[in-house]
Amino acid sequence: MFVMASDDFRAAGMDMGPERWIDIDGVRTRYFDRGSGLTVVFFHGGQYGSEDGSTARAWDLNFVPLAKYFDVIAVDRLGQGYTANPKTDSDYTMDASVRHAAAFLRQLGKGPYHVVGHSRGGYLVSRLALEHPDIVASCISVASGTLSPGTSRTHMIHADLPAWSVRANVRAWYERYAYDARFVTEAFLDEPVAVVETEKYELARQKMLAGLGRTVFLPALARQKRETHAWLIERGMPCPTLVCWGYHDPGAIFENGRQMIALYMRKQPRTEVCLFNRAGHFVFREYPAHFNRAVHAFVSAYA
Amino acid sequence: MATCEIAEKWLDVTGIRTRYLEAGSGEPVVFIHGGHSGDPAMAESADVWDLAIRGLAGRYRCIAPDRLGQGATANPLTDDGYAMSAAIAHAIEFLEALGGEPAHLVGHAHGGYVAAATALQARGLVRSCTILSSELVASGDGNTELVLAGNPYAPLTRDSARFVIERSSPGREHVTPGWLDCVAAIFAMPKYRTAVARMVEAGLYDTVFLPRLRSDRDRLFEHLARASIGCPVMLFWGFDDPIAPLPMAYDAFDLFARHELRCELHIVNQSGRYAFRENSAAFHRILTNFVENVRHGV
Repeated sequence: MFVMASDDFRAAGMDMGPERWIDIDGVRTRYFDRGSGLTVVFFHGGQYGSEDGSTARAWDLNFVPLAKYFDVIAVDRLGQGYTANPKTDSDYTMDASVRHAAAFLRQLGKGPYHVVGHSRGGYLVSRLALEHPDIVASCISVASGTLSPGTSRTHMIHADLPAWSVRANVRAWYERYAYDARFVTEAFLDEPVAVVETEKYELARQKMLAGLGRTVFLPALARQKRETHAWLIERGMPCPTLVCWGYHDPGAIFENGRQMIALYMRKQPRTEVCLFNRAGHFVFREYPAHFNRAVHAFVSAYA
Repeated sequence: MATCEIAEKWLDVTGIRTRYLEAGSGEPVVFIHGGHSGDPAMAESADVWDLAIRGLAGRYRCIAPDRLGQGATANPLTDDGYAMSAAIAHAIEFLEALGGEPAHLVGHAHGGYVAAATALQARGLVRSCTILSSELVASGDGNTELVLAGNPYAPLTRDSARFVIERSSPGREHVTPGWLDCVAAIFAMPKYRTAVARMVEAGLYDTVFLPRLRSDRDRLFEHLARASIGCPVMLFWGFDDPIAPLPMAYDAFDLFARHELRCELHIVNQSGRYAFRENSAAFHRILTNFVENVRHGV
């Protein structure tokens, strides 16, 4: 059994290499791709116009160390990061984000893929596996309150964010969602802040606020979340699944995680859970070495 | 009784002739089996670790003793010796007799409690503590009595042991003939019959073992409510454990995680009491990651 070497995972200069661009059904999409071997793809969290400004760089502490062992890919999801916005208002949904991700993976022509998703991205990778079992080898879902039963606390913890600057706002968003917020450095904040300040992101934010969030995004998510739960009960995940959670996640609380675990476990025998103490929503940035080892070993075991 | 490639060794541990299995080199990992002495339905011993030792000896010095009065290790010399506290003292003396190099402890079921108590009482001897499927490290009784009720086989038989194992774990492939042979050989030992006579017929299980365990366990819980166990902790559980159901794993995690930063819980699916055998590949991978994280201090 091969075990990952110990690196200094908090080292500065987590260079993900050159930005790459690909056209996915008319949507200009940014991604990063490094290394060789089994293909591991990372999907960040957040949604259209959300205050976190999440991008593929959310994964730099994982992407760079794991690139020594795997072909690692991290992509800006539809309408997020530097990937273009949905072409129509009706595409401001998680479903469109999943379709974009699937088309991205098919167009890359690699795989089968080991997909890793955080938060809303955890929902995305679960749907990818369920809807596209032919291209997904294993699934790692991290703190996905989006898919878990129960109610989230994200609205409470993110109420009343400081409004005096975008940077202060974004910083508070991450700090309140973490347990160990040391990863929220100025360097880390640079890209999310830049994204939030782009014109296209502001446009998406306005659209969501003006009604798409309430009339399109959430109703579709509610419907598809119920559908996903039914699928997990009836047929289960089609591939090995690892569920990672931070015990002190203040938003996607582990109480909900327990119910989510029971759903994943129901039909897929190769389901595992990895729970870390004193970790919040960003367990993969708060404990990158532990997280990377878990991913490395899981992906290698189910190659 | 010794399985091939794995060396069977003996140590005198303060007057108790103690058998242990050993293989591999590197950082010491000490495996502590479950059960208790004088159980007529199932004889736990170091042999339960054969898969783990084979899987991990390439990286670590794997050591698995037979606990006091269990396996081929001698019986306690006094009635008080049938208490769990004596098994813990024996485990600590065993680690000292080995040379005292700090070890990663891995304890199963009752052995998980022994590992936790050893970590607490002998900090210098323990680098980390891994607890597998243990109803003793969470409040509550576990479901042993209900799950194992109605054993149709005569006590001290291979079939009785097979019934216990199969009732407590959904897996089947881990119930190997080699392991059952070891259990049958232990049942046949005169010293094991003596232990059964002390625990069951003379009633030490009810008059010594359980009441002392109750108060000792309360003290462990009180400690964990206000302080760390003193080393990194990993809990490993089978999702379908009928004896220590999953909520016990969550309770145990909550207890250990309260004051110990380095605490992890791992759950594997479709396995029970013997998750570390039923899902051995996942266990070896997860334990290796944990030990490496501890070694590198991340």
